[in-house]
Amino acid sequence: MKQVLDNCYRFLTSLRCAVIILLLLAGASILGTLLPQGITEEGVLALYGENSLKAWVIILFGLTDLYHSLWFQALIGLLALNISLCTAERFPKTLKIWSHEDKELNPERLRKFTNFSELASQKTNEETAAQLKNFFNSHGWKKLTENVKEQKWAGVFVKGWAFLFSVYGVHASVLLILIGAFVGSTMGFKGTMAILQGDSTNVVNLMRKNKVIILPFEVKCDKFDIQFYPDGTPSEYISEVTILEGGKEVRKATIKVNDPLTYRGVSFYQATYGTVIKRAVVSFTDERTGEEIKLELTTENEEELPGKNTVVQLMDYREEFGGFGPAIAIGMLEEGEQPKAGWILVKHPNFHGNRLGHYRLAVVDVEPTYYTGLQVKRDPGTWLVLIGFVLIVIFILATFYGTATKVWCVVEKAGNSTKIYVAMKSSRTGLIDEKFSALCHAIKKLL
Amino acid sequence: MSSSFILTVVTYGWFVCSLFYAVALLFKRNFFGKLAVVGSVAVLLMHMAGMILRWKESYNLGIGHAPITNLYESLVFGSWSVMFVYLLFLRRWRIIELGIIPSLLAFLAMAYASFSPNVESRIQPLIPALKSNWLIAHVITCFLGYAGFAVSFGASVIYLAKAKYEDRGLFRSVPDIRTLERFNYQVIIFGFLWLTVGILTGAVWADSAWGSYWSWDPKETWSLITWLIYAAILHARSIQSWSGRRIAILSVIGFGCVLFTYLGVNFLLSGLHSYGAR
Repeated sequence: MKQVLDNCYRFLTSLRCAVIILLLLAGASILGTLLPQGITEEGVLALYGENSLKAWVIILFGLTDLYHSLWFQALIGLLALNISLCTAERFPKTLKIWSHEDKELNPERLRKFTNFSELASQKTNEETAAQLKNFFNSHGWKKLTENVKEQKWAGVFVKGWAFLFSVYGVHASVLLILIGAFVGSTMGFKGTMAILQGDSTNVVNLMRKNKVIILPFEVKCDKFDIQFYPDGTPSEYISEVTILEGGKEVRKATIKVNDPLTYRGVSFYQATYGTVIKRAVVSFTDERTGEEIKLELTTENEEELPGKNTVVQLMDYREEFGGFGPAIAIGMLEEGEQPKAGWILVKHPNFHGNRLGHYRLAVVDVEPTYYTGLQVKRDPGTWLVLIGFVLIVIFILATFYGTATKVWCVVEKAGNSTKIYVAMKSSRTGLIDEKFSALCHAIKKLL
Repeated sequence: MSSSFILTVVTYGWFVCSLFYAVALLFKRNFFGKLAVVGSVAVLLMHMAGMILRWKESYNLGIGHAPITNLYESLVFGSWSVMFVYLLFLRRWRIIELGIIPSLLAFLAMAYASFSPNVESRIQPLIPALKSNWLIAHVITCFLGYAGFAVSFGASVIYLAKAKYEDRGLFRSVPDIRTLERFNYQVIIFGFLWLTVGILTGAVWADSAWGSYWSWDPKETWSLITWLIYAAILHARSIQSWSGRRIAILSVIGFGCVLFTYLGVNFLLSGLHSYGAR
């Protein structure tokens, strides 16, 4: 049993595991872009058939909301676990390398390095050691250890030594972003709000849930406006809103795409818009008698056609109906008959389809109003995520372009002259040969 | 002279350059290599002049904006970025033989932009969703990332070809495969860094425009897929058994994802990067 656990742990802390998780996440994400997202269970059954295996699998694994499904989040959790365990496993080792003190420094040890060089000087070993120390000091090297003995001097110098830790910075930033996302999804909300021009509301419909949130203040839409370029394409969508607290105006603001409003931690973004009508004047002509009745209809209440035992109501409005311009939908209930409803074209009063029962209908006047669709969110995790964004870029730069270099130097008296042994190691192997020969060249010049 | 005329000339320019690079790759003629490099620098400058002129033309139309806002402009800019990044790396690595694929990609992107009837080359006004200071930062960083991966794709293909056909005497002029591998790694790092910045600037922008830094829109998701694959490559490189060949193959796959993120998502998947309110 212990063996199995050990193996599991070893696998979880391995690079291979990290690569596999990254590729699995990539594969799962691909799946999510190939299947339609955000459709209901009924939708899936309608799309793939009641008894199909595909529909069953899709529903079982929540593939229509894949990125929020339990197993996908578990995969992200696994990545976080892998990162944490790898850090726990490797960080102490890096710390050891970072603080390692070389006690026994002798030429034999240095000889084993790939980058090793042997130089000579005619000066005394004390003078040479002083020269070298001075050189390293003035060229941005930091002294790690120094070992002075009779006739022998040894020194260890480092440059960019903190870069040893930059990869942990990248991984910590990834964790910070994931934590921020988690905070946002558990402690914040995201929803939409539709407000008619002139109306106010405090109800937010949550996304992906059949729930609402009531804000402690109201948002009133004073005006919604679309501006156009000369060629007719929209240039700007603008909502002018007022925030009301207890019925009192506390703030006026303009919300545009790319220009949201934030009030008491809740942000409002321009997301969509539409038109509705609240009122329409319609004439009803009884085809049996030729009698014409004009009525003002609203979406809120039904109206009675006087003396006809019939009620009518305004039901819906479309700005564009099958290429014939705007149309309104009217419902009609005549005593003793089935209820009827139909679309009436606003701009074509003589259209033969403008009928309901035995009445010809014509729209005399409509008053369309805009409503603005705002996206509403509160996300206390955003700051963590944004800090994570900045840090990850800094640490990726540090990881791939920063170099931690260590140089070992031994100066030894050899008869009348002095011998200098230099060795170098670096966290990035790419350019170490060139750097080492440049260093040796500089030291040679010095001597 | 109009920008579209300059950019048409640039298209042919990249074609000629890719011919020079092909000769330099196959026959190791130093002369053609030099010609290819000098030609590339000249065409790159002209390419840039074309883009700047288009920028100016948009202001003359009264709808001034950076020329990176529709498919045509992004193809033109993408093509420029690929050669810019290649030449940037050429300065240090001096591997002229790797220029063939970047220059061919640049030519193909320009040819598609200039000659395809499906690509609208007119200067269009900015839709409200794109009116943001983040636009330039987001697009430029993303394309530097894509371009890095394109150059890496080129190096990987040549790596694989050289590894396979070297004994038959082909690709002798190309540096040894260890150097190619190191080059490839450096270019992938470059691409990865810029793709990261690109995704993050996009996320910050989305947060300020739509109130959500991540909404799993197909474009976002595919850019994340690409990022994950290159992250996997960077990790895999430290595993001993995952050396050269496998990395080169993964890099080719990664570039497939880049292309899909950039073009495939727009053509094949629905409802994507759907700018604007409606």
